[in-house]
Amino acid sequence: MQSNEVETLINRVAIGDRQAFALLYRVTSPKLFSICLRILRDRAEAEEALQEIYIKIWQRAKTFAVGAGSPSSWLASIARNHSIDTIRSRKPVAEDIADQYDLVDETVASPEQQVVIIDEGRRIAHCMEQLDASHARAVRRAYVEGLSYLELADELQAPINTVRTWLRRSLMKLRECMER
Amino acid sequence: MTSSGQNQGGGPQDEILAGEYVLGVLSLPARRLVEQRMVQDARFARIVQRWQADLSSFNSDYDEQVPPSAVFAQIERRLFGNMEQSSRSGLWHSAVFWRSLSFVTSAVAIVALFYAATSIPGRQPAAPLVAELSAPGSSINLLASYDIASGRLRMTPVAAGRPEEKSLELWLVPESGSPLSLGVLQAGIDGEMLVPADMRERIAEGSTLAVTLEPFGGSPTGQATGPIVASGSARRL
Repeated sequence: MQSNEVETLINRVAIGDRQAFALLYRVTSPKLFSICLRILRDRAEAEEALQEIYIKIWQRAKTFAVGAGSPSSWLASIARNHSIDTIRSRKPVAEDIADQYDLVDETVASPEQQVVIIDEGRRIAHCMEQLDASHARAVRRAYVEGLSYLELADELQAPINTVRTWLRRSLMKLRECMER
Repeated sequence: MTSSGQNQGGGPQDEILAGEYVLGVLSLPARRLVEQRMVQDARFARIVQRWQADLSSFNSDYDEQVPPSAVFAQIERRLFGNMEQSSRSGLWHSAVFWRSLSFVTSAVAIVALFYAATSIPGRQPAAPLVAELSAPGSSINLLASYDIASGRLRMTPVAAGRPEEKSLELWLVPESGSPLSLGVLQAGIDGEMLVPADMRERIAEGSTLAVTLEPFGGSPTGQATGPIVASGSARRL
């Protein structure tokens, strides 16, 4: 299904069209279910999460703004956010908000730089290639599997602070590269 | 700062925090803090959205897996209950109902009715209560619909008088030139309307919106013909 057809369905859902909702579910639920399964790694929990996600989609369809991103990434972000919240509440991780952001390179892009988001898919692929291969893998796995810093550290067999520094530095390098 | 509206960058700390949020590595309390900040800080919210767009190509790593069919049945049950079949059925969407409603409402009365009680024999969902709120001399009434089950109350403006005579039409009033129609307010869709695709970008902070009283179905000429019943400019909440 074309992205603008999904967008039309979301807009019809926003005005309470249940048939559009059923169709939207039919075309988009396999992807969103896969997101739940991948992050939650438990079938029953994934089914429960999928229910909550489509209830949110029904309730939030009217907040879907044209131009705020593609409809499929909007749907995927609802699914990812819900799944990540669920797994974080199941397995609390160490507090991380107060950490120092003391790792910033001098190479960081100025916030005043002009940015036009075009073709971000190709651009991010290019920028991921600029990262150290193991760091790029960690970034992608964190995203796709919804791993916490602790889990990433386990997976990479590295101290959590090292992983955190890698990942934050990778984010800044990605941002810098994409603004170029 | 430039005025092009394209500058969406943030400071390094904001970029990192937003990126961490979108990656999903943060703890639950940290995620809640980020979300609070997104509500209060539109610039920060745009940084998060930009990461979301940038990283969305990783979504291709998720394959497709069809969920069991029971899941959707469960969703529908939770959202809509067991009894109703279609959102388009029911008197809320019936023009005949609104017409007959106008005959029983007097100019000053607030009239409450059970509408669903007359429509579906036998098993009934919790019937919404409907009231038409009006005042002498006013060219608009407000229709209130209260859904007992959800506690949700909706207010929809409608033209006073017989519904087949007048409609309320919403206009975008540009800085110069004639008002552009955004559509006719219809009671049947709970006060919501879908803005035509070509008009969406034109509505921004500071845009003036106005409602006029027009012949039933909207202005026949495409230009506002009736009196303005309300107007105001848009601001961000």
